[in-house]
Amino acid sequence: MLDTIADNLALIMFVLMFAVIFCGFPVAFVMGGMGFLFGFIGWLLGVFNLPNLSNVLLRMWGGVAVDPVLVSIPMFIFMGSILERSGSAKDMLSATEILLKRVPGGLAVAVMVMGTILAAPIGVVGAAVVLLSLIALPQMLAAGYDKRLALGTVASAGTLGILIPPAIMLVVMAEMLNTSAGALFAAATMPGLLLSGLYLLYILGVAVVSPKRAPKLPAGFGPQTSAEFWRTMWKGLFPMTFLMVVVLGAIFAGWATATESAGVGVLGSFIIAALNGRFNLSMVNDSIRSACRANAMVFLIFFGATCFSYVFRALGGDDVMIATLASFGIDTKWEVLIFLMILVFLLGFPFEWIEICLIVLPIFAPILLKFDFSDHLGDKSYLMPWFGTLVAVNLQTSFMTPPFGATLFYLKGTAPPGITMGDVYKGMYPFVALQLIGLLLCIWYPSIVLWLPKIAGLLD
Amino acid sequence: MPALTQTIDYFAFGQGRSMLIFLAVFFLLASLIGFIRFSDAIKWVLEKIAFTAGWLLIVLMFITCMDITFRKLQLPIALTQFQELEWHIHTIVFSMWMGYNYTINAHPRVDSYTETLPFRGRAWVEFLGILILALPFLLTMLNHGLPFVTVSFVQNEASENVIGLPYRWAIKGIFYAGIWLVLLGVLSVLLRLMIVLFRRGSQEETGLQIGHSELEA
Repeated sequence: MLDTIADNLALIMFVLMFAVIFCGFPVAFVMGGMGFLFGFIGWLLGVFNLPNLSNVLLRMWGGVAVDPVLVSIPMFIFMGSILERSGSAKDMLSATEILLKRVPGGLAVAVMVMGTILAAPIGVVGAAVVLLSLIALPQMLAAGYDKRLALGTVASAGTLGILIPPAIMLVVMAEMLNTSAGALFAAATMPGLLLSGLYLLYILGVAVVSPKRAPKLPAGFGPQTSAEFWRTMWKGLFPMTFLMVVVLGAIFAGWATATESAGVGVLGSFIIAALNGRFNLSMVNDSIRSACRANAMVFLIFFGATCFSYVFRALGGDDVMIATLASFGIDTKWEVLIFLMILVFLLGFPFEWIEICLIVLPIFAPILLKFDFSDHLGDKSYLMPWFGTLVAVNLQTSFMTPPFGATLFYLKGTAPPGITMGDVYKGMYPFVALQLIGLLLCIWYPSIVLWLPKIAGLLD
Repeated sequence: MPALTQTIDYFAFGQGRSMLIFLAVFFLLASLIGFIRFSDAIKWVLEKIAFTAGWLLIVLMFITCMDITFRKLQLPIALTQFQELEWHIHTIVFSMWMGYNYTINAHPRVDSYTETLPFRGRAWVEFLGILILALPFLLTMLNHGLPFVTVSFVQNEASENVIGLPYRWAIKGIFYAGIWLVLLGVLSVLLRLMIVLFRRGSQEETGLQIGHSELEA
């Protein structure tokens, strides 16, 4: 009896951890604590040496603290929080709206364009959705937009931020998959643009077919003279677009590491804030605090997850997991991939991306690496960037899928009164369908994912 | 029962003893000073440390910008120290913030099933979570992890690069201290929880923040 427990301790640990996490205790402590508890049980059963737990510190130090790439996480978050708190993000949205006012469905198209360019540095799903929902949703509703279309647009534009570089999720993912952050940034770019393109086509289609659902803006909207028009563009649109092009361009062209470009991005967003006369001590202070808070949140989870996966490995978790999958008949490469996609999709309902990246990827990526996808992808080394991108697109889909996607609750929480949860759900369906089409395209045509990193020479 | 003797042995005579001594001293101090006052004091210290460390992000920004400028202009300045300084600063920032973050309830949780519980119910979940998961995890880590700093200090460890930064043990010490701060944050919340649960303190008097937070948004 005790032997059976000792043999399957890793599996029990994995299942129990998911049960305990739902109690609502901070995720980082649940992962660390479960790591400790099962280390302790393993120690009592004679299959683990308790003082070895201090190796978690060494792992955390060697894998997280000294890693120069992870420094880009606080820097990107900082950049996003400056853009948000200084009101630059808001300026950009209104400039985009004015620019696109003659396009059918102009407001929705503006929100989508803005989500594509700007949600990226904000990175944390909730923040981008809340921002768009507070600023853009009331505007769209006031302009007479169909509320379902408006809600779907805001949710999909806001979640694009976890996928389109420089999303911090991709930095964490690259770390977990032992690939470079630059390669994953490049790999996720085309799928991100593909999705954004699909959304735009849908919105334009709706606006053309039934203009009642996405009415044109009145001619009196925005500036009336061309001098005023250019001033708005100059203030709101150009600096931000320029900043994003510089930050991403430097990474893709190989001029700068993700960390360096993030540093430049922070400086740039301070300059934009200063140009718009919004640079002051309290803005700086607020941005620092919110960046540090989000950053510490990510790194404490790193710490807990390191403890969990260290103990999981030490208890023989990898082999137990493969044996378990095989006993369910999941043993060919496509079966494993599809199983992982479904698992990630389901886990995306209750969890944020941090937990999924830090629990699921370190456990399952090595299993996937045992298979040879080179007939589908062209080369063995292309597997991880491709897989990472699929997980990212999948997670984004999961976050906006009714009835449990996290984004929907953020959206409901910040939407004006009169919007019911039912409206939110119904608004999502067409966008989730587009999202699934995008995901399948990326699976069947891996060159969508691999084209940019290949020509940028980031896959060696 | 060999498992029982093994456990007793570990806590009474083995390396586990120092954790119990620490907890005993901590709660003795807390009862002398008063739970809430002690908890407030810890939170105040954590806040000061965190807010001060936060400004290092600005320094980090300047260092990364200088790093890339010097490199692109190919100035004859060794950049190894700059690059090491980048992750040194980052390590300081996240180490100094993790503990404070818990006292302001900014660590994410999955509470879709427990957020409907009454306040005391959530307090019980938090209390048990701290006792069973967070405290043993952190204490064991700190207890067995001390050589991580002491060995480095005794060897006067420096960067593995010849021209890198000296005093590697200092940053290791800060990293290790960061976990102490997490422990202090947890204990600060634990003291408030004990007042709520065993002295019938209300949420307002204790200022306890647990459960779903709006901070993430």
